[in-house]
Amino acid sequence: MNRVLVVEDNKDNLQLLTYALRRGGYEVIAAETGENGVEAAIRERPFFILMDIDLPGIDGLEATRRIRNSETDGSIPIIAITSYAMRGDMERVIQAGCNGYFEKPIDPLTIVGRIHAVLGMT
Amino acid sequence: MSLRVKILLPLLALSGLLVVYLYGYWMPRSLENIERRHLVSVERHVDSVAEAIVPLLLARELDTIYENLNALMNRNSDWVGIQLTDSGGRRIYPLQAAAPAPRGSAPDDIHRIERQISYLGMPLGKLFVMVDFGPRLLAMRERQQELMGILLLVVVSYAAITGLVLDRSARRPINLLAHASKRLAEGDFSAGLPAPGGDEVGVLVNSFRSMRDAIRSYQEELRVANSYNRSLIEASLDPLVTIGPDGKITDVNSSTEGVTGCGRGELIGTDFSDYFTEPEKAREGYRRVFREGAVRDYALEIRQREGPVVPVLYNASVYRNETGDVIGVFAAARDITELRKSEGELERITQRNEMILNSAGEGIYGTDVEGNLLFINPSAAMMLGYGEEEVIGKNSHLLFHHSKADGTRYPFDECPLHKSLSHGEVSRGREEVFWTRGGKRFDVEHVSTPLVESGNIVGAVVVFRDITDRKRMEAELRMLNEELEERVKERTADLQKKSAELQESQRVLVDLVKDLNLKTTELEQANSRLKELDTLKSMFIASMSHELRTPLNSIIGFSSILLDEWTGTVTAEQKENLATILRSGRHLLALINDVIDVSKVEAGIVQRQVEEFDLYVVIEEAASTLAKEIKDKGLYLKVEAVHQQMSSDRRRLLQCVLNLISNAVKFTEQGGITVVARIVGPGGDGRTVEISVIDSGVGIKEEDLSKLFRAFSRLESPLKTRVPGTGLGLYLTKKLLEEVLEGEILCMSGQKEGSCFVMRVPVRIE
Repeated sequence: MNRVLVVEDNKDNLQLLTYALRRGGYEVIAAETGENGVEAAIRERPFFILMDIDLPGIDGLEATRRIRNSETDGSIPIIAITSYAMRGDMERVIQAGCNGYFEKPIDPLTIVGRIHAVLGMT
Repeated sequence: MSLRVKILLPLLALSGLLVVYLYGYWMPRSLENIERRHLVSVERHVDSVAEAIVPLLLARELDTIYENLNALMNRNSDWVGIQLTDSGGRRIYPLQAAAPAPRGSAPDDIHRIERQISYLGMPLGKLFVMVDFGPRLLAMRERQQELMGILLLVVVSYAAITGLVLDRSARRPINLLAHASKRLAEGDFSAGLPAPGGDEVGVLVNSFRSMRDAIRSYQEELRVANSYNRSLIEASLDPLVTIGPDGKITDVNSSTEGVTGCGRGELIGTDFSDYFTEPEKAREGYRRVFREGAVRDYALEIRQREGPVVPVLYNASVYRNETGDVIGVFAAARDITELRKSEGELERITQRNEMILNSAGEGIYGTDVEGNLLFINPSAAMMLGYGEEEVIGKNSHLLFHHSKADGTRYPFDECPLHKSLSHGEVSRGREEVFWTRGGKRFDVEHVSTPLVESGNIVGAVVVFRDITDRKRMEAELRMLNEELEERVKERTADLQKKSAELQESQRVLVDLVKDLNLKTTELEQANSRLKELDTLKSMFIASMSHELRTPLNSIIGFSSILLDEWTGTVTAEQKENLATILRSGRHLLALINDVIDVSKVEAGIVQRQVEEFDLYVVIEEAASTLAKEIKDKGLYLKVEAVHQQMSSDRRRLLQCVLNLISNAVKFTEQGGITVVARIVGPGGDGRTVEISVIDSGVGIKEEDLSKLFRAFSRLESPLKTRVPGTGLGLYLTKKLLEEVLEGEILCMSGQKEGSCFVMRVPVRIE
């Protein structure tokens, strides 16, 4: 219930997100490539996934699609994290199967609140 | 009346007469005779009965009388009644009243026979006997009628047989013969003939057959002769016509059909004179033929049904039958259209030649092969000083070509004109001189052409003109020309010099152009380098967006969690330092973002993301983003926004609103900020949104208003040292508004009165 997956290749960002999510009471599983992220998602069934889009190998969109294809029961919420350069790619992100997306830079102080807002948790 | 009737009628009449005689005369007479003879025999019988009764009456033997008389009655069936009275008139027999006469018999046929019975003069009584002759007579008549029938049958049979025989042996052959004659008259020789017997009819058939054969061979000969004649007529290309004494056409050939435009059938039987423009003259023509026997070259004009009138000459003569009587005219026409035409043509040509000769300015004359003049035109005569008529027949060479230009004698065989006569050559030249009657000489230009007829030279025609004046002028002209040539040479040399100079100038110009081309190439290279640089710039911007911001994200993120004491408590001094890092990081990020945006806008690579949204929500989002900052600074924030569905680039609009509010916050120390968003529009059409951001800050000097929206321009401000900024904010806002949102921005401000920035954007953009 409190395990979440962060797929992010940038260690600094990963660290920041880990800080923020632990402070919000979540246990963080990290994956640094898309392939690992897909594996972890299928294996661990996390509560939700934060998915960086700019990834080496398969990108976040492809990883999201694979996760969605592997699912048989209800779906894991996936929130994309996009770079500033990808503004306006919302459609692509949503079509790939994400439930929402945040734009970098990520503010560690507000990120958990924003995640809860996307997941409909008050 | 047919032969059959003729033969049968008397026979039938005879039969009729026979019937009338037999019925009307012979039969009644014969019956009468028979009746009379019978009556005599019956009376004799009655007499003998009366004789026999005498003794019986005397003896009064009445029974015997009765018996005898009864026996008589029974024996003779035609005795229908017997009555016997005595001398006193008393009836002795029969005892009853007499039976009535039997029916069926005419009263005339009942004969009453009365006899006085007496003895020696003494009357004894009377005997009455009634006898019926009817049945007997009837039988007789029947027999006679039978006889007559047989006789009649014999007579009628004879008539029928006679008729039949006649029909077979005479009438039918005659009819066949008649039919064959009729067919023969129609020209059919093939009709069947009866078989010739040995009788008179046979003779007739045989002679008919030989007659027919004779006619046939005669007709064949006639046909051959006729077709020969017809071919002769048709072979003629000239229209041929035969005319009867009444002036009607009796025959034509096909050429006549052609020339009149009428068919043969139409022509025959019509008046010959109808086909000419002058019918009376045509009539007179054939009348003359009848009168005189023939005409020659009688001119007429045939009137064609369509097309032009055809002039013809007629040759005609009469033709006669065997007895020498004139029975018609044979007329042959000759179409002389072409002849007429060539006659006219010849006349015209002659006239034209005459005219040419008369009007020519050149002298023209013709000679025979000896050089004797045949004709001379007025110009030639005038130039030579002779009359036209007087020179004809004289030798042209001796008359005006007798000497050369130097006065020496000119032999005829040296004369070039003579060559035309001797060699048949065309001779032309400008070197000859002619002499006038008065002994004056003049230069001539001449053309001498031989006259050739059937390959033989028969003379020459010479055309000449006086070129004395022209020769003089030519000499002058030659001199002038030489002068001119000299001058031209001078001018040419001059021009050549000029040309050389010009070529030099041109070379310089060419060098210049080459230089220019070189420069252009260099410029093009520079240009392409610039383009490369531009591309490099875009690449730089792209990498800026990622590579510069990623570390900045870490700086900002980590300093903010440290400052928030997530990793442990920090001292006040450390906090202050961390806040500085955080602020600087944020400022740098804003600067980078602005620089990237500006570059993109300037490069024209900003992509518009149109979406549907509510204006109110955007304003609220902007306000809430900055609410904390405003509150921290102790300022108020007033928002008056309407709900308006828009179709525009939401993020860019939000960015602009944020920029303006954040600007207002920077330059306002007390009081607050008011944001008003409403619908306006040119003429209030509701298609434009107006967003005003009003602050109570330091305001802007009027002279600075024009610098407001320039890039990297930061105004002199009392707060300058304290206000962080990139100098790109308003410039970027203006660019975004104009180039992405299709709107505008303006600023209304006075120093110390705060500022008012107004944005106007369309509700909908594509």
